[in-house]
Amino acid sequence: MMNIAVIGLGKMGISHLSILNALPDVKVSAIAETNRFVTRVLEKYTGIKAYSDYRKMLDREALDAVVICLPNSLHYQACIDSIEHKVSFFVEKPFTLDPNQSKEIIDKSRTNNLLGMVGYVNRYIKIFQIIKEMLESDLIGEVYDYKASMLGAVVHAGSKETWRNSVSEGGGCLFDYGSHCIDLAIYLFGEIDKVLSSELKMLFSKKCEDIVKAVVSHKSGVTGSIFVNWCDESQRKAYNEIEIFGKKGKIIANKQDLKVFLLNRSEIFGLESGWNSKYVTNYIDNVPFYLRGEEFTKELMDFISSINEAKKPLSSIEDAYLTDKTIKMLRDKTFNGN
Amino acid sequence: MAINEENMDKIIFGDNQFFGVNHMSLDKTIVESQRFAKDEAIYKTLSDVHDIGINSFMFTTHERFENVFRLMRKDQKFTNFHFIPCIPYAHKYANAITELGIIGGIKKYIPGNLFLTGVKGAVSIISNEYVELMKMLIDSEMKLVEGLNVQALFLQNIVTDLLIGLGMDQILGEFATYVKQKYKILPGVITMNFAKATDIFSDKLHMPEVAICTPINKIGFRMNPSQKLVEESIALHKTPIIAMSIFASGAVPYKDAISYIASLKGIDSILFGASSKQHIEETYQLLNSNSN
Repeated sequence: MMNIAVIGLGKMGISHLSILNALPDVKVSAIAETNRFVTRVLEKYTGIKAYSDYRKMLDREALDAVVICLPNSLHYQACIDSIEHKVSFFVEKPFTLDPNQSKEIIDKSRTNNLLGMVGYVNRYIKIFQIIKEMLESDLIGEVYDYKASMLGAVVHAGSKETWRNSVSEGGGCLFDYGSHCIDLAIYLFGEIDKVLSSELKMLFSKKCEDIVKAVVSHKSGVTGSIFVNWCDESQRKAYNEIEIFGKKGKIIANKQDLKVFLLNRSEIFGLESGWNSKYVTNYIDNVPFYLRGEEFTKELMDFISSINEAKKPLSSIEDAYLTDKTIKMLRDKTFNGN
Repeated sequence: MAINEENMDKIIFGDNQFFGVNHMSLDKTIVESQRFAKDEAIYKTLSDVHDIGINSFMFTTHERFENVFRLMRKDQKFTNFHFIPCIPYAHKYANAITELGIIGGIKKYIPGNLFLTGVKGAVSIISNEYVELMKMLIDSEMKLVEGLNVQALFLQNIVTDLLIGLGMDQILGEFATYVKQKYKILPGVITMNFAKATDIFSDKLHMPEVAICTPINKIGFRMNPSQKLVEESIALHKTPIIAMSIFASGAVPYKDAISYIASLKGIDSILFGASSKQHIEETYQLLNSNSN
């Protein structure tokens, strides 16, 4: 039985707490959150011990792992504190606000033989896993370009400004949505080594960008463009899509559906030449406990099994570091021109 | 509010199509949202639903229904029609919580005018009367259906499943008890974790009357933890069961979908949605001819 604690009980923290609590072989032994309304209700009805200061919790509880869902600017310190207490950690995305800090965490967790993971949940979406398989088996031939986008309706005219709208506190659409988009590109095409162009545009926010437009190049030679907009009122939920162009076909995918155009039919994937449509219902992926999407359960199961089996999780801190580095490259390109 | 002890209807009409909720494609979402851009179009479809012979409508408490229900209240044909709200309309709260924090989000939706209920709400937050707070939020949501023939009140899966995961069974029980006592209607929950939910209500809370609405379809889509376990659990029939997503967003052909449901003993009702009158009628006839 693994002893786990959740640090930070906003929307993601509560969601992860619920899933962890329902999974077998995991015991949620403590929670840490500064909002007393939240901790009191949870303490009263779940009996889980609550702390207002996570450092006290780390001092007092015998934990194997923590799940960190604090505001972005606190990720770094919480990871370091966990490592100092010899506790493995899952931290919500983005990893940290500075790739140098991310690197320091990676080094320290290696030295201490601890596992770290970042919550890039796209990697646990079945359709994105399938397109990765398709690319690895050369289904659409050599990939020469892609368009990745993430749209949502987070910020409106007149939205109240919180840390989410302040870059210095880890807010802004690049850290929030952009990180998902960049991580998906890195998952599929590997490390990004060049930013060819980058524009960070403000629309409604005063201290952060609301729109990101960038063209990047991967070490593998693939180039692609990234477009992120968190002010798109037409979106009911956050929406990720990627269109991948290969010399022998094309893939258009989001978490619900997958369209593949092929010059030649593929027996391995059961696809005809021309257009093919597949849906989430073609890839049934049930989970021991469901909340908001199979992928949220699967990422936490990966975290737990990676600790138990001492293996690298699908969403490793090493990969998340590459995203942090890309985010910094985008800002450097926008503001310094290099 | 009507007191209604009768069983739920075998066929219940749902509301996903009105809001372009579609698990298959964005194009279909756009087509549907244009079809139902005007509130009158929703009213007209519900009028067709009634004329076809369907007598129950299950819906999320979306603000757009305020207008639709205003029209329906004036229309005598809906006097005995069964309204089944599902609360809360989660997007509303999720957005408020992101922007205003948990307490700010709750305060925004405490019923009535701020001066009268703001004080009571603030007291509940401070003194940790969580159940009182939940009751106020239920009352707030129920205002939408005032004067209508409400047969049951369901909790949306996002809340049901969150509470199940947290192990807050007691709150689920408080919800069901309040719905029965205050509104004299049937309590129910929607869930993506059927086996756990049915065990909680029948075995832990001893409330086998609570109806459970969950995806049940031939391909096992959203039947967690597994299709086999959900089927076994359905066979035990510990609580009333409403099957939803029986076509799995169109992935299961009509006849297959219905013969699968018919092969499972223990399903009491079927929830389905469709946009056109012809499509609704065909589905209804097909379901009705197999309903035994």
